Amino acid sequence: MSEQTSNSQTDKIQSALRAVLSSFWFEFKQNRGAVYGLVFISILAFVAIFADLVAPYSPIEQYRDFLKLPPIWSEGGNWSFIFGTDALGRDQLSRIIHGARYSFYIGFIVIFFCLTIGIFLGLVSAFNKGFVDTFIMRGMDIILAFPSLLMALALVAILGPSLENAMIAIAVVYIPHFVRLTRAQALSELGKDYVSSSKTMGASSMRLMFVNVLPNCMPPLIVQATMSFSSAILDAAALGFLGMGAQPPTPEWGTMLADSRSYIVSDPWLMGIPGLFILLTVLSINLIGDGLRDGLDPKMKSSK
Amino acid sequence: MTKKSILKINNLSVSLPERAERPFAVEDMSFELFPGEILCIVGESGSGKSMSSNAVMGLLPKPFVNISQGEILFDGKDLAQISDKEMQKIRGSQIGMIFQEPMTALNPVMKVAKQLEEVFNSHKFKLSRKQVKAKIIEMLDDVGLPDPEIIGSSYPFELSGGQRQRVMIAMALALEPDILIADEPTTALDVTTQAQILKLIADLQTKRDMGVIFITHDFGVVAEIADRVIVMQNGKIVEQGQAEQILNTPQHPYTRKLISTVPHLGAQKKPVVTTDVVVTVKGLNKIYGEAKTGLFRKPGRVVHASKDVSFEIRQGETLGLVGESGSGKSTVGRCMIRLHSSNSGEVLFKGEDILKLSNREMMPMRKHIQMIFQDPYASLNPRRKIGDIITEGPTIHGVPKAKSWKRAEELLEIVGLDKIALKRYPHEFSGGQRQRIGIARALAMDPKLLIADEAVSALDVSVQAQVLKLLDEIKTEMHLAMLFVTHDLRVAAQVCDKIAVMKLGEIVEYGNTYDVFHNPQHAYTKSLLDAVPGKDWKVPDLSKLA
Repeated sequence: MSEQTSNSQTDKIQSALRAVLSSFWFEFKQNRGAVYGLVFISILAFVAIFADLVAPYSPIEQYRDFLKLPPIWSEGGNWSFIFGTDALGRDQLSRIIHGARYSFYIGFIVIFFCLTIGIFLGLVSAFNKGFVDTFIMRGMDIILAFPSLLMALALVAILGPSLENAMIAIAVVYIPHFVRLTRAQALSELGKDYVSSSKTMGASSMRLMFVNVLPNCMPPLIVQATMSFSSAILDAAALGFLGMGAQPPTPEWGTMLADSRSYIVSDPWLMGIPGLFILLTVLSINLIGDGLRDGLDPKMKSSK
Repeated sequence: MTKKSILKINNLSVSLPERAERPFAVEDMSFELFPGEILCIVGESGSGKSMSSNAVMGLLPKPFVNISQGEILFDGKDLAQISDKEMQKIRGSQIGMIFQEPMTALNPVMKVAKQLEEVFNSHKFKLSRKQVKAKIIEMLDDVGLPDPEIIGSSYPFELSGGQRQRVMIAMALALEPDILIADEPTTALDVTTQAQILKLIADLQTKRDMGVIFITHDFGVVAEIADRVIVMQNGKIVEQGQAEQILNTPQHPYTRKLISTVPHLGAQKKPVVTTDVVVTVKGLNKIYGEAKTGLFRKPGRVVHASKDVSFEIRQGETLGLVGESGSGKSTVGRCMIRLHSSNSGEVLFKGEDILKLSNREMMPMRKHIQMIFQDPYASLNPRRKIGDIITEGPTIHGVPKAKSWKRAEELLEIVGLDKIALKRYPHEFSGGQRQRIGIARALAMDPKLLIADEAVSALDVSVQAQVLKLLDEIKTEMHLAMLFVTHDLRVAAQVCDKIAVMKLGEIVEYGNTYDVFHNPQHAYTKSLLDAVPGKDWKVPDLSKLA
């Protein structure tokens, strides 16, 4: 009997989820750019996950016979190295493929920290007006008062240059946006009577926060998360370029840019290819973010 | 009526976009408007009454909604055919319009006089600044605003709701139009203000011999003001005729149904309830805002929302807390359930003062007092299923899920919904259904006291009647005590055993419903009763007609 109810329960959840997803997908695919973005990111994600199988060479192995080989579409290209090789004879294509891994890694870790800490602080702040609220929000204002990259640089300088520390620094810089967004959303939801109703039932503030209010705050947070995902990749690349992020020989895209800086005039493709991938990735994620907003934000929904 | 009509509508249809619930917002509508009469269009929400007036004004939300056939003849022209530019000339100068919500219809960052000036400027009248100024003051004076010069130099937010609506009327009438269209102009106003505005519209209409199209959902207002009435249902006119005839001897079954759901104002004598007292409120005080003193702090505005409020409710008894907006009636309800803190006083529930309990001690008491909220759209969590919403309370109090789920099914049956609703989300339900769900949620806790905070105010009159009936049945069956907070005296007269009238945080009159309605003691109660629209109209007993 109980098994039956739990079965029908999951059935119900699944059918409801399907309905929500199908209406979301309808809105999402109206946005052409978002679909292109999704296709590009899907391919990139696939390649990143199976990098060891897909990449033709190891990203750090040096082929001393082929230094600074140009990509195949320019003169002197060689089919063995499609994107050419860098100054140490490492295969560019394999480095880009492995580098995609780092980019996703950076994006997900940063967003994970931002969402968990940001949502928690934002909700706490919205539910505790007065000293706690003021304390948290003024703290966030102080972080926001610094130029973000400068702040990240300073943090890395203190923690020591490494990819992990760069991610922590970027997360710290982004958290205030999430806290503010969560707090604003939660405050507007708190005024609604469904929250009052839960209070009259005797719901604890934990329950109010996470069961009642949070799900109603999620759509803008998801959009913010995608947008921040791309900025995080960009900032990590910038830190890598400045030598404060991933350290050589890690095939991180920003570090690749930094390595090839001295050859920008003689061999521009060395910087061009990682740069192009950073651009395309960031652009695609931002396009997806736009599509998500169309699908998730009821205010943006097309009239029916 | 031998006068020539000023507006004639022939077979007008307004089409809706494809995915709408019906093909036409207005279907095959024909009527005439004569100078010097007030024509009321009544119907429930979604009946197409506003769409028909928007069609006349050329304010349809194109390109989604269009006039698909018919003509609107005004001043020798067909308004359905003319260009936007020509329409713009007619709008305001020959046909004026006032809206429901005066705050959003006025520009919030522009002074009143400046907005009135715009009306003249946009229609290119050759008037000097001085003439315009004099004219504006005259207009504001005309609509009964005191100190027109001061009003003219204030911003909309500085005015009260009634004053704003007067300004709107002044704007609509500035260019002396032949026709005034009023779309629910008094729905957002308090009853005493409503009475004044209705009188103002009627006076101006007689003075200027205008034709007025008055759109409303309230039969009381119709009885107060209408010369002729059109009843609409699902975009079609079901009945039209003289007000007298429609109100007292309606022919169409839909009109009869609507009129039979209008609550009677005359309260009936009810037996005095002598059961046990469930809750006693003694000297409840609530003050909003603190008088702050100190460097850089202006003394804050202090509102005494509840001033020494005392009453008691017995088992199976309904106490109506009535008053105008800002009288503190909702505050009292919310203080009793501890949604708001209170400054002093006692709320004795089963002999225990619940205001003194700690949050932990309050927990078991929460079960006994439940609330039904006003806005059925905001009071249900949009991201949770009905089943989860109803069982939330019992779950918090440790009832096993399977048991509370079963109870939820029963409760849905009691409030007249199918149990399949448990698996759905709130947006799939209409306002009336949502309110039923809200009631089921409150009942899931098996409360002893139910606080209904304007529980039927947002509903259409026929739905309202159903929900009121449901509440009454539940109260009788479950022996509940009920605090019924409302601004609507008709509703209060119908459901309440006792009435407490509140004004500015104080209870000015408290007694049996029959006594309060038939022999009011306090001047304020008298003025409230006097302001009820259509108070002279006795709702006919239609069972005899049929």
